[in-house]
Amino acid sequence: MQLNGVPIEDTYAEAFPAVGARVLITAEDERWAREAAQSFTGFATSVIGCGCEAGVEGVDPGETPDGRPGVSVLIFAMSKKGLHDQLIKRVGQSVMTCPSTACYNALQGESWLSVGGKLRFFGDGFQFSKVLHGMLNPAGGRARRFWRIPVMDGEFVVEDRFGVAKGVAGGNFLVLGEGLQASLQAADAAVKAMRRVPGVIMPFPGGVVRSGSKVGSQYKFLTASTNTAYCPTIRRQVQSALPDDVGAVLEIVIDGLTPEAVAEAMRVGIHAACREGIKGISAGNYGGKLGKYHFRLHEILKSGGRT
Amino acid sequence: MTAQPMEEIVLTFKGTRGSTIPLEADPITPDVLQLKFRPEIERLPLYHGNEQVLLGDFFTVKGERSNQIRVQGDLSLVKNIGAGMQAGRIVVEGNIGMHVGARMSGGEIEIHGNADDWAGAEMTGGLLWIKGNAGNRAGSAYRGSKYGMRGGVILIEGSGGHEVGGYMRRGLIVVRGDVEDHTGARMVAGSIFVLGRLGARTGGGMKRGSIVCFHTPDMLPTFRLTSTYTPLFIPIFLRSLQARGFSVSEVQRARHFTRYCGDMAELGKGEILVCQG
Repeated sequence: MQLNGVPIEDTYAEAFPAVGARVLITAEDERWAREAAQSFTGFATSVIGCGCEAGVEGVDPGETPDGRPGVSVLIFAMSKKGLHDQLIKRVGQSVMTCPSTACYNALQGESWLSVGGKLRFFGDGFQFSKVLHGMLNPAGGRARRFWRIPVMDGEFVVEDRFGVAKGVAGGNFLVLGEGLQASLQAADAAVKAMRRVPGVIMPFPGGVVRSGSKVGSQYKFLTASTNTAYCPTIRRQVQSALPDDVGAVLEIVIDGLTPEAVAEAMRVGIHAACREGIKGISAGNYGGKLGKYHFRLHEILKSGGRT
Repeated sequence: MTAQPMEEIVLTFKGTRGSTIPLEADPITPDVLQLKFRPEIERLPLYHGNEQVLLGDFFTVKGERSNQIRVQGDLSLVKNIGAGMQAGRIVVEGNIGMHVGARMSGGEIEIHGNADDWAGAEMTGGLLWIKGNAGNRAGSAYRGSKYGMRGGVILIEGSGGHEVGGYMRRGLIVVRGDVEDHTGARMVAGSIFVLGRLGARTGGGMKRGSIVCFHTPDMLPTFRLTSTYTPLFIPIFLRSLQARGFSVSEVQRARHFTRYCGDMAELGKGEILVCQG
């Protein structure tokens, strides 16, 4: 299969079940909402090294509960407990600390995690709770509790509970370019297109990762190491997967709230990445033995994103 | 053959035949009527003073087995409609007597008229929407009770009487018009929004809870000014009210509120927030 003259390898991305939450951060203006979101999603590229994967959702969150500018953030972890820990830390340290912000749940989850309900103790007994009755909640008739924690610029408002949904982590594809410039431009274009898909994030810096990994290492203490088959500088020393004309490979990793959203993001991303200077598109997997989800590149491109 | 449930039960009040004695209509709740056929509804016992009467003596009944009830007529002397209801919906077309929706825990009551005293008293859930004026002690506690309203929402499009939300423990009361004295007296928690003017001694004895005012009330000396800021829960509530169809357009852009904490003669963790524009 080829797209714009770029060969698409007949392979698949292997992804894993995850649990996710959607956090809506509002502030006096968009700049401060983005500052908080950037801090919240910092050091959240890989669950293995960071405990979670998080990113700013590219789509406009629309109307926010308090009517102020807002930024939507998705965060994924391998377990509810892991997600809970990360939410408390990140809302507490990155959102509550940021001037003028407030933090709301933006996901009708399958289960719930107490976040504001834990952070409220920072109010040292002067915290207030306000419950919006389910009959006044246009989104689903569920009562919503907000905690008002006194802080030095006024009050930090944080929702009591955040919804948790099953999601997908680790959808991916590889952009094989003739050189770094070509791969960078293609990956950048892909990420820009993918950010228009709701319900997905690309958690690595700028949405792109250059240090793809494989399971295991020659060192006993290391569980993952560089993806030698895709490293162009050692292609003659290992069993390389790279054609001779490939000079740089970049990977785009996708986490999403549904497999359909991940597949759609992969589809638009691959379409955008297939441009001049790109010699092939591939995907990372572990032989199909580890991940529950297999996103076959050919099927995604033929089916218009549906898996 | 099983009868199909009707869409709505319509009860039309025939009047009290010149009597000024109130009619106590406790069984008029969706919980009771939804399981009954029309003859059973007509045979439900009501009290007219100390005399037991039948519902059919005072109401014509159309429909059966529905949790949607429409009550028509001037019901100013009919008490306890919807009291203790748990689910369903009652629409009252006219004025209604005392204790409407008192101690209700769920469902909705919509009154296209005025409601007399004790509307939604000690309610724990549901929505009581009064399109006209409310009497005294809406959402309040009965004498001797520790707490008033403990959940749910009361929306009053007209004015409220004395002691709105007295001893309130949880929930929301919104009054678009003016209220009389002692609003939120001895409240323990919950929120009261008054878009109109307030009478004397607002929040007297309150321990916790919020009274949001859009006109400056006469502040008791036991309340202390803390600061002027933007409490974000107010736009959240106002936007939700607007979305629900309760127009707050005249105050929706309000952002700056002065916060008074009190009552310092009590616990002092309550607040009166006064809109500054």
